[in-house]
Amino acid sequence: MAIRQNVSGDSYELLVSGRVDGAAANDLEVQVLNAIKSGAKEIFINLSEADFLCSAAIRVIMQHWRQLKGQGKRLAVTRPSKPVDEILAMTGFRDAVVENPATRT
Amino acid sequence: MADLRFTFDSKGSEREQFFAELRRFAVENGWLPAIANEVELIFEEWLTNISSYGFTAQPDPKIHIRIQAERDHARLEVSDNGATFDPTRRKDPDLSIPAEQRPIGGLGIFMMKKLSRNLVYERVGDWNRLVIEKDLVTPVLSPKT
Repeated sequence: MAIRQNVSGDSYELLVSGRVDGAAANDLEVQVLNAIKSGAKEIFINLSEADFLCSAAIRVIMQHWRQLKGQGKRLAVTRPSKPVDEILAMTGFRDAVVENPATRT
Repeated sequence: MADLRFTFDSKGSEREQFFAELRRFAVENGWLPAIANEVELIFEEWLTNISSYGFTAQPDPKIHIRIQAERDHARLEVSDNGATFDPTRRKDPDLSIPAEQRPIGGLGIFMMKKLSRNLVYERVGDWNRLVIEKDLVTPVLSPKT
């Protein structure tokens, strides 16, 4: 698993590739927290290159999705790969957290 | 029948070695990458559950894994000497609750059930034994394109 980061103003994109297992979920949380600490108002987690997503990673995404939403900020999953999209659908979180490309500003 | 056995103490050091062995076994037996990823995800969830919750009071934790693969299905057996826990009795999350309010816990076992054909649990002496039946022909999730 690898995470690349693109920053544009206060908008952060985390591009996550490979198998997002428990250790990777910890790394993802560190990156999300770093982005928040750096003043991110929008965090996009691009999962187009992810092979799968474990439940710990879903927990990280949903916890920070809720927290940022409550602060008037935004976290979204973008371009999930097919298996990742189906895992998010299976667990009932896809509609809430996956961004429709048309809504991206 | 192809057979893979692995034993470790759940402290983490052998975990990567197990997953490397599992990936090698999957390639050697011609599993589709999507199937191999699903099997890896099933093990990821169950091993995390065991090491996070099962071994809190176990000074000498042990996990034994055996994978028996036929052409079209596999039997994944995991035995651990942790606290009694039957995942088949775990209630599934209520997906009708809005995402904002729904508890996030319990997803791992729910995912294991969804990715498997069947789960059978039994307590044998001081050991939990979980046998997972996995279809090796048709992935549950679409392959990554």
